[in-house]
Amino acid sequence: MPVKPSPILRDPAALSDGDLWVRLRERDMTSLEALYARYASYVYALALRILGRSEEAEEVVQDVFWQLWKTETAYEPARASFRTWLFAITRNRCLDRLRRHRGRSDSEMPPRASGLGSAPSDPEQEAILAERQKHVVAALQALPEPQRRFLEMGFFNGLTHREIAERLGEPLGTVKSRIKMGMDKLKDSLRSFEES
Amino acid sequence: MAVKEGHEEYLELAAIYALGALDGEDRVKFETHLASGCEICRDAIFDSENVLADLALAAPLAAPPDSVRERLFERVRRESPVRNFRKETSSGPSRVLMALAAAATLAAVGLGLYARTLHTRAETERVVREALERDLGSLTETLAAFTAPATRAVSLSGQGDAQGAAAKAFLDPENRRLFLYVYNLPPPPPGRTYQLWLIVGGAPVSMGTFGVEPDGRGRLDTTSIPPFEGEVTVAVTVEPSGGVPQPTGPMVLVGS
Repeated sequence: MPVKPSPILRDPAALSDGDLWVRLRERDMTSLEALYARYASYVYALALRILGRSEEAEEVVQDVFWQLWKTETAYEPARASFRTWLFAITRNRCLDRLRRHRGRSDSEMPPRASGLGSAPSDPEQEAILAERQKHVVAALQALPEPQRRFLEMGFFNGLTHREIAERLGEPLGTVKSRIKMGMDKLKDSLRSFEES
Repeated sequence: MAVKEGHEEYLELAAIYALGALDGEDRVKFETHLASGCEICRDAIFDSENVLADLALAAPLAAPPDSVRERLFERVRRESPVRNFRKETSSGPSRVLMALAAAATLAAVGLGLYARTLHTRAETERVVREALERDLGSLTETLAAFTAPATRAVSLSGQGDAQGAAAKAFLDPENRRLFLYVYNLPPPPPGRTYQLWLIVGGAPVSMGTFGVEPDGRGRLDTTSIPPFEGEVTVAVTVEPSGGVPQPTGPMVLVGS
């Protein structure tokens, strides 16, 4: 009977996110190194985009990967891809910091989106990540400007729909409908990418 | 999925809820509705969350400094028991098994060392290539921002104790980027940092903190400038380390 090589004997860089997570729980530092090499730039980029301060973005990278190492937050492969889960943690960390800066407590804020996706990660996902990034950027840019701006203000700036309406002097109903329309268009666009 | 009549409003709220941006009366109303067990809205939230997860990829890619990685792994080594599967061997086999394994091990070690050499070389080349690609991508982005038709250049002049300092800021409103290059600025006092502000319509918005090299040079690249039209002022103040939400310290550079 052919023997399937154990993931433990393979180079970490060649392992899937899920396998690396399993090894991480066993305190394998090479797995943390592999995940860092794979995702640190994305985590940093997201933190920098949300917080706008390189020093704070660097702290978020440290926090997020330290949290991974301590496995304080359980990743459930059945619920989401590792990448999706990692980005959700990163965004939540950043929004916590933004809220502290604004002097508001979490209890006053709306619930954080978990940002969970449906498909578990595998090595192929890593290969198409860069391609997917291009597609996401293109899909976002293709949105009508107000829809894109409202989505970005909610996602990257952590603003509520009322705050967006106040800042831009738009009726609340307009903000709500444009967020929904923007989300629907993004959904369609990303779906067509997955099907292509 | 067919949408029940009168349900459109809840689907609108579901999208905003997934974004984490629903508050006030709308939030109460939607959560009350969700508590009634609406499967359509639960599916809509899940659907929207999938879309939103990918929005993280829309942030312009940027690599953290090497020092971040070094600090992280230093902490890991210092504070945690570490295993390294690459270096692990099994334990507990009998002497006979160990003897039998010895010959195989010798051959495997030879092959392993050779494979590892190849792997290390390939890995090094991959890391160098990726670093170069990142640098090239960053330079291309910077050049594109500088030459974009909407990009504005603002000259900043030194103020107060920093009369000899100067800076240039490039604002790319389309991509919401700002590049700041500082010259001849003395290091901030201990426990203080320089903080950059964009002042639009009289309201200062923090663009981040930065330090300077011993020769007085400093640089900041930020990707979150607010939308603006008309006149804009760029200023640098001295603030407590870590920065502050609103400027409190003396202004050392300013330009419009």
